[in-house]
Amino acid sequence: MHELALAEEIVRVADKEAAHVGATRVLSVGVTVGQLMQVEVDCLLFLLGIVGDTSRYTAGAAFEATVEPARLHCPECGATWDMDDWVFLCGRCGSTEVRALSGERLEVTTMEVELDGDGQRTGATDRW
Amino acid sequence: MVKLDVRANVLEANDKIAARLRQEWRGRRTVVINLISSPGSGKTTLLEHTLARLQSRLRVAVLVGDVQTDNDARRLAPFGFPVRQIVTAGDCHLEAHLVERHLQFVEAAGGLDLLFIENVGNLVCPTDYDLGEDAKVVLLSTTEGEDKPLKYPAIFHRATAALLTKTDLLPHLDFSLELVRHNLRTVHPGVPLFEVSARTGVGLEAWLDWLFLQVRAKCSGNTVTGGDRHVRGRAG
Repeated sequence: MHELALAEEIVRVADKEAAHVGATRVLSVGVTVGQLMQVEVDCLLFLLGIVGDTSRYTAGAAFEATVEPARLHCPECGATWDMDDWVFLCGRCGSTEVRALSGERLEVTTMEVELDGDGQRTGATDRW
Repeated sequence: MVKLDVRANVLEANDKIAARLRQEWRGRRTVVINLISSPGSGKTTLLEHTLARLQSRLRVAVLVGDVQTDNDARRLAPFGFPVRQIVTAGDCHLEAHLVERHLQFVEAAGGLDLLFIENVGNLVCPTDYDLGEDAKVVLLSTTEGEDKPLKYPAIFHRATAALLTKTDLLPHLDFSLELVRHNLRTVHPGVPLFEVSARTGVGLEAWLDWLFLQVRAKCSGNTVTGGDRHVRGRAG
């Protein structure tokens, strides 16, 4: 049930970013969840709806999650494939040295915010 | 409305503290082992028998996390090493700030060779939280079933070493050693596996050898390694 702790961290990160750019309100938050992070995405989104409403910035914001697939690579034979069922053996050469190229991200990737003066602050728009 | 490209790590607050702890422990040459398993796999029993064998040999301390009670700290106290209970009051995992807050109670003036952090019993939640440790070590007991590595792959994949505990119960169980070894090596090929019984001592010597290897490696300034691959337990 660490999704609750993660939801709190996501809202904390969104609040910090909103304050940093001088936003009045957060409209949406896009989160990337790596396949290897063992996070229950539906549970996380449900909790974000609740935790998000406790912040003056993210109250009413839409939270969206994108799962980043785990891409595996075999350095011995060069094969690359999408992970299936956590098998870390190379299906082509049998190597045990398989590495994950992706799938370990857990980040607030994008946000849409409202600014004082309806988005006239250039400092924030420059970031996009 | 403005779109922001944020790309901020959700666990940045935890990871920042963990990085600070790791740097401190590197300077002090303290090996830190984060023990993770489901409730009842035998983390505390393993530690009791490990601490008994490390008396007068290494400077050790233990931080032990539980949702409630200080029962585990009281079990581990008689071995003469500093032990501190962390009660999370509901949280299913330890976070780096909790470790940092309680560390002062177990760090000896002359420094530590080895710090065990016994995490809250849970195979999912502690996995994503860096505590600044050198190694996550996962435990699985023979009464839990051979498919635990497949059901909870993330922790078995990330662990630096694994222990199969309660091997003295094998004669009474329909538990296949071959199958659990196969399942573990599917999600984490090459991970060292120690098959132990804390009650009888079988296999504990290999586990202790591995711990000493980590201490020696850190003392010489090297990074902690996976160590030798031990499979079958020896009488300890």
